[in-house]
Amino acid sequence: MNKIKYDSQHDLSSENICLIPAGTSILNVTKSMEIQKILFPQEEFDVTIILEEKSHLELHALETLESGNGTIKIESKTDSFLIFHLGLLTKGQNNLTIQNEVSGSHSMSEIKIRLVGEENSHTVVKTRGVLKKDTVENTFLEDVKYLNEEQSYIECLPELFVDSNEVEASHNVSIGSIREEDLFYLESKGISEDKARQVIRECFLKSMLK
Amino acid sequence: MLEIQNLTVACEEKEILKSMSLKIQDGEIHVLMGPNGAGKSTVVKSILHHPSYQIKSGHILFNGNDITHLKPNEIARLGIYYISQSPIEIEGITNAEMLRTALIEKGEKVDAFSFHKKCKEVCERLHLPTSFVNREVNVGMSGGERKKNELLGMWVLEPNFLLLDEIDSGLDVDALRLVGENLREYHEKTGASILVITHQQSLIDILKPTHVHRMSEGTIVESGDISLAKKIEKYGFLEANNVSGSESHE
Repeated sequence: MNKIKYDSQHDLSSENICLIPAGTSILNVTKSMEIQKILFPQEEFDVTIILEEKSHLELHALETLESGNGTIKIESKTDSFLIFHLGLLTKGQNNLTIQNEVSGSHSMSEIKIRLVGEENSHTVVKTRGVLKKDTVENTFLEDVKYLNEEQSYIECLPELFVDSNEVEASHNVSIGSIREEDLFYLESKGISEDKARQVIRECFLKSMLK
Repeated sequence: MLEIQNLTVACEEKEILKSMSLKIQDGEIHVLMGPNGAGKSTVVKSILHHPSYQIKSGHILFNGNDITHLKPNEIARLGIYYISQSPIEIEGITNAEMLRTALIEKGEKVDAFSFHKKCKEVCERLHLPTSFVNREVNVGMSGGERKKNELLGMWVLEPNFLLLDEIDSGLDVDALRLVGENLREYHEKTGASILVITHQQSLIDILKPTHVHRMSEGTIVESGDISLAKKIEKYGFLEANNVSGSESHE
């Protein structure tokens, strides 16, 4: 298996695009890094993002996941700071795992995912939080929301493993649906039901942008 | 012209409007008054074909076309604009996005510069900061701001028929005057017809309606001119029933 290693100092383009390669890769964040676009490959991927001590990673992205199959592992070390806000439009068959493992202390992790499935798509998203032993004063939040629609299938499986006695952690998954009153409101302005649904979906995902 | 012919409407199988009829000619301003539960809001929501209301019988005609079973967006595109008593919040969607989408859906070409120029002018007219255009629809707005926000949509979309359901609710004295004067100005400028539900004499004084109707138990029981509103204010709905001075509705 090929391993690609790239870091925050060299391999990120000036447009703050993070290209996830197929296969196994490691991204080292050593200082401060901002990502506005994350491109998933159509082949299987397994990327590990290592947040080194006192590093800072902020991701706000709105992306399409098409026939994606892979894992994003984030390792948070002492005094690291993570904001991972991702809006995902899924197409085809997808299987995505996002894992955040906190091995240091005094870190902050906030992972928010918003999901909308295209017609006939089938998506399974696993989020896993691991707070390791002998760590203290970490703040950890995992929040996944998706729109439940007849046209697509989305399944979210949240897991949280806490092996530390001194942590503030929460995780939740919630299912939303497009409210009839929102649709009526937009329709009463002259917007067709299909367009209104599309606008609501887009805005649901766009809430992940900065 | 809008004409409601013998309209019977139910909500969750409970009949609310009972063979109600009403005719509004171009440029007229009609006020609907009546006690709680008389069916006033049902009238305006039925015109817009709200999904919670089922039209059992009767017809609604707009400019000679039967709109009884059209979808809300199709009715809106004919030029009918509805402002509810409590406009809802829609998170994530800005006024600009919504209004631009509505104009495009109407088949209009939207030039970004002209659109923002127009929005800016309307905001000034409504004493709102221009940044209001980029705020999410009614999110975090006070009652008064929401009504002004709906008027922003009215000026941008330029409808020719307004359906106003207690637009005065939640407004302080100054906001009520501003909203009333904006509606009056819009009516004078465009010739739009208005059907408004209100109990506020001060709004009625500003709008100067051509017709006032009193509703009771799902139908119009009395129609007249502005003097009917003054009679209702003086005697209340129950007593107004026993005081002569207005024509009865047929």
